[in-house]
Amino acid sequence: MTLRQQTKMRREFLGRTFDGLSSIALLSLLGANGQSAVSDLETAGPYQSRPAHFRPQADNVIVVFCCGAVSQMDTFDFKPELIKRDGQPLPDSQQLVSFQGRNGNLVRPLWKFRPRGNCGKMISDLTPHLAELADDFCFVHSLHSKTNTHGPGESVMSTGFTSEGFPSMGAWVTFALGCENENLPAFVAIEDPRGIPQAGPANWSAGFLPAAYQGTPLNSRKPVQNLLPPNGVSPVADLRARETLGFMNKRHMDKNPGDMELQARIASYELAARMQLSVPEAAAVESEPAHILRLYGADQPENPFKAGFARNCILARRLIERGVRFVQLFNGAFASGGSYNWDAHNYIQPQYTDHAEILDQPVAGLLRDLKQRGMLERTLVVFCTEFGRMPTFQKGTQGRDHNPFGFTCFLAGAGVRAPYSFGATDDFGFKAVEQPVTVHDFHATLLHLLGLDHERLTFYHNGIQRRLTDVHGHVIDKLLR
Amino acid sequence: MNYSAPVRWFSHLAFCAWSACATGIAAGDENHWSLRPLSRPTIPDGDSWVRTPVDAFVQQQRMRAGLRPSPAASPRVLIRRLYLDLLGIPPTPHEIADFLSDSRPLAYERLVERALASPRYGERWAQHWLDLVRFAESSGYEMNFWFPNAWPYRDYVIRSLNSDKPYDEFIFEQLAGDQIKEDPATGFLVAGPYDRSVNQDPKFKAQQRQDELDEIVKATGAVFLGFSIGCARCHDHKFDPITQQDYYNLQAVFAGVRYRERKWRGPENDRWQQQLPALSARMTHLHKNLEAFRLEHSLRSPVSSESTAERFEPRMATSVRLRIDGTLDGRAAQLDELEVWSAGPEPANVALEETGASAQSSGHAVGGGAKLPDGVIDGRLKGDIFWRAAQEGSVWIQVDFLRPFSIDRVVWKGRDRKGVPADYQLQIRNVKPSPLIKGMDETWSTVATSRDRLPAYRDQRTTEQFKLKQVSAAELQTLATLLAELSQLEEEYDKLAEGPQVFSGDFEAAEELYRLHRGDPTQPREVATPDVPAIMGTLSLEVTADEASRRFALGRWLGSKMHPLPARVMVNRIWQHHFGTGLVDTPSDFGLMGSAPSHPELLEWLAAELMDHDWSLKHLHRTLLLSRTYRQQSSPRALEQKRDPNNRLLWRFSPRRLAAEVLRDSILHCSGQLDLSMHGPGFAFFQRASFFSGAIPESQLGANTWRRMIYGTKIRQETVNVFGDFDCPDAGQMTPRRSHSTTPLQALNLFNSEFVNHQTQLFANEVQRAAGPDPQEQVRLAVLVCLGRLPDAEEQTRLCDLLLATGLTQVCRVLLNTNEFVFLN
Repeated sequence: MTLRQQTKMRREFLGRTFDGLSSIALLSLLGANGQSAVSDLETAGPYQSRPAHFRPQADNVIVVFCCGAVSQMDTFDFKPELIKRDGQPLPDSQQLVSFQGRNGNLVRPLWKFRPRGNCGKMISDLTPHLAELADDFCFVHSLHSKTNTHGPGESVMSTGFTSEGFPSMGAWVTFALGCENENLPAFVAIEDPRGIPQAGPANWSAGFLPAAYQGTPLNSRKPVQNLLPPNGVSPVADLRARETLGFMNKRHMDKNPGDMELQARIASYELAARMQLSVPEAAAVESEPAHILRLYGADQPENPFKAGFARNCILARRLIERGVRFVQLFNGAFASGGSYNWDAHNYIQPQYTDHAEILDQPVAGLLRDLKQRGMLERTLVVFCTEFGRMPTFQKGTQGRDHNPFGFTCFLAGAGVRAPYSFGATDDFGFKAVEQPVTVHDFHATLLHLLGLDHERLTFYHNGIQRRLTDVHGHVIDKLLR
Repeated sequence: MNYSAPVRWFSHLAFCAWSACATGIAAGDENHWSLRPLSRPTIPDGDSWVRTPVDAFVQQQRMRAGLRPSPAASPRVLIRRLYLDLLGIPPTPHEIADFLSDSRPLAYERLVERALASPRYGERWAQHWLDLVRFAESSGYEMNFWFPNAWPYRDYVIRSLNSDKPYDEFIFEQLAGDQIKEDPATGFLVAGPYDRSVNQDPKFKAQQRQDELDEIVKATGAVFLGFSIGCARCHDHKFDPITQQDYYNLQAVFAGVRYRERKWRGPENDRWQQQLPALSARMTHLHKNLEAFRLEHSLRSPVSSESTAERFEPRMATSVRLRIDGTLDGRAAQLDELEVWSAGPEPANVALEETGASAQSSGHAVGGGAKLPDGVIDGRLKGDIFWRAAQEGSVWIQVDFLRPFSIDRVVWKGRDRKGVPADYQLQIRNVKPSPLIKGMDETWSTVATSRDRLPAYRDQRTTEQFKLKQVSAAELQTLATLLAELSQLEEEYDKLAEGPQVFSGDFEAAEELYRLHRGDPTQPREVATPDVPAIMGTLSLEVTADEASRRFALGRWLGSKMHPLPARVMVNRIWQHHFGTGLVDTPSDFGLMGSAPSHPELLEWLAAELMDHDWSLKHLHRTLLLSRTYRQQSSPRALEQKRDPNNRLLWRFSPRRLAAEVLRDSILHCSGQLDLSMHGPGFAFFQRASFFSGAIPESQLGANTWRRMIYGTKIRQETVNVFGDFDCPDAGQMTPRRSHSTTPLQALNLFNSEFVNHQTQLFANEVQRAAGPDPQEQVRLAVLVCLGRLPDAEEQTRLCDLLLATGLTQVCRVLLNTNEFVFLN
């Protein structure tokens, strides 16, 4: 058998594990081949921690997903030429039509840029707290997307595909690596206090992966569903019921010795019982000391969105601290004319002022907190959005339209080269022109930091070994420390 | 498993490189097992174990591997298995007792016949099909629009299965049912997700359309042919003999399909249409009265939401302005186009951006993009570019010309029925030489107003706002009554004339499609001729074939027995759902990368059997269910477990966890609450939120939601409370086979949820009523209802202890959570 055949066979077996292949056979088969990323993957423990393909730089991930498409030229992508040519037409763009229609002239960034940190990175005044951390950031300025529409765009950033129904990044990562703490969900999606993102639950879907890997929606105000015994059932009655259930299942098991699925289901009830204690403990944001609440801006009841988002940031840290593998933290909600997310078509100045106030201090607080606890060494923080915005204002509005041709994301923490800026857009921040980066490249690099080879992390579905990166993607070595 | 596939792929690449040919088909590809013609194999001889042909094929291969079959399952296990598998609910104690006491020969055969005749069968097996075609009742993506009229497709599938509709007809109707008045059937075509965002960027707009067509091509290829034809969208298929041209040819079959509702013909529509003449007569009568009123008061005809014109004596003008003080519906005024026509023998619209005209207004709306005034002079109708005033109330829009024109007519057109100007003044800026000032005198004058027009019958303004001249208050009241009745009648008429709607696609003339280089809509290459992939045959259609004939031809071809794939693929799907794994364990991939069948001859024999029995799916079920193979015990056995852990050689019946739907239906069945009313609009798991893509879970505590789960409205992306976590697909991708996971969240849902505990309580009440006050009796009955058997002595003791300590409800809660309840054995 050639190596390629072996690889294919192994992938098929891995991919189909949950379609009924018993773990015994799987293990023996993998033993024979002697190598596997997810060798002890078995029905008994989807959340069990599993080794990566190679030595990882990061153990956990926090993705800060800014819904609605953050304007690059107003935040992190400094374009002096755009300032100079304010009010002039975008060159070579007669009758340029973007998502919502025609465009007017170039409009300079609405916030002043200044050099920040020791590295002198130019960052605007929109996010002063984040700007102070410039030395910790690895910027990618040359991202571009396949779509100019929010739903598919968020899907691409979260799943690699514009179409519906593909597994999200968090699902892939937990499918590969499990969780470091079996008593907590491996992948948690924390919704913004203003509401769900534009692509909705597609952002944390397991797609065609087993449901075990879908993100569990949880935020500082929304507990895990059905975590606690129902009303009217006393703790004593609950315990007796659980004991009796254990007895019934044990008896059934005795008649079906060796059935792993039955075993797994018994184990799942034991895990569930432990979760009843571990989840509320992890979610107890209010137990944090005052100085931590202050650091994140969670002590500002006059701005409930900011305080709520800050609490979500604290929750993210607490989950990661307890071994949750992947946290997707949303900033910004559904389509709302730019009121509740970064989609400022009409009035960018007042809307971004509001949004940045909610985003800035809490995320900066999160990064500082992770850093002071030494957690940033093993935690990868990803700041992303679905695409960028136009350097022009839309005709007849004071806002910027969608722009899939160039946008900025940044990384911080485990294994990441910082301070660093990679790639560039043109003089106006319009199109990625230097070292363009696809979302697939971006994903491949994130997986690499987690010790996963994006070409080996596959799952068989409808005729294809599917990957997070489709059939594309290259690890960008320059982003690595 | 097909280990040779990668080698084939390499040789295929080498072949292409060598020949530099555009086609992705290599010599010999037609010899791939699934593409070869079908021939009915001889049934092998078997020993005394063999009862049916299925057994003979299975035994032959099992014996080769030296594995023994399992003993027959007990009748008690068998009836539970059959019910859960075929009907999706467990048998009642009564049904079990009947079966166990039937000592006549062929008791099981009769049981199978009864089960196949049960309407519960279609409700359970339709779910497999709906999973496969990723049916849902919302669009998915950012908007995730809900479709209130998509459910008829779900009912169509249930009815088709229950009536044992031949599979060839079932295929045909889903592709071309509109041509034989099976309107809901074509719901298949539009079952996939699609992006409803309005995109102005032409490149991405074209991409959206391509994505819509791609969903149909992918589904048709995978569902009926078991080929991943969708993989050839950007390049020739990497593994299978499907070229990019094949892909676009298949796309051309669907070139006229639009994701829309259309009229649902049938008895309901007939009833609606029968009401039209009476309505029409009454409307004619009222129109006559209205016309009399108009003439009596010398009024002009009303404004129209489509197009309103004003004519006047020719004037030299540099500008035209429409002042609007009220609209028909009170919303902010909006216009799609404003045309100004020049006087003379060859009138031309001079209000066009391209001829130098410009537009301005009192203010434009910006929410959801800018609705700029120049949208009315772009010369495009029904586009997404139009003007909408910034606010309700008095507003104006004005067009200025580059030079003066002699004009005599102004026409404005609405985009839809919203914001139609009802109270307006049309003004023009005159140009005439002035003796007083050097140059031209430019003054505004009003050339027409709405105040001598009869109000339109959709006009929602008050009678005072009509501002009609010379009409008394009493007459105004008469007019208002007349208008109100007409509005209401017209609304009703329109609705009835449109007929009941079904979301099953609408059909337009086929647009010309091309092979798109790299799948990029901006790079069209060769024209696409509607056809099936060349390696499979041809539809023999012209490139100009009309829309309906394309889908007709494909539908007929798929069911024509001309190609063996539809039968092979379908028998494998049925096998998979009965036995847990298909003979081919890649159910939607019969291509070179798919697995080879575990029992090739059995697959062939079953495919032949299906076709020879008039494509009867019930015949196929019967063939499998009556086999001894199906009737084996499910317990694992050490030796076999070690040699064939996946049970591919069928040495036992593969146990499996119940699907989410079966679990929910079974709980409701046990609690005595399952509402068996069939068909019609579904019940809601969610409420629509006020914003896009929002869905708020609905409490499932009301009896109106206790129908079978297949009748729950399926919202894309959303995970249904409690049961969604049991591997319910999200309808984003086709799911020929569900994943199986076991998670603590499932345990929490089943053990703690309000829904389950509410049912537990109702279950306990039922048991108490039926069993009387004796706790021993109550436990016995509860176990019998849940598990289909009586408890043994120790179970009885333990459950009674629980009952005495905590009550019967906790006993029921435990039973509904047991592995024995949750697994099919």
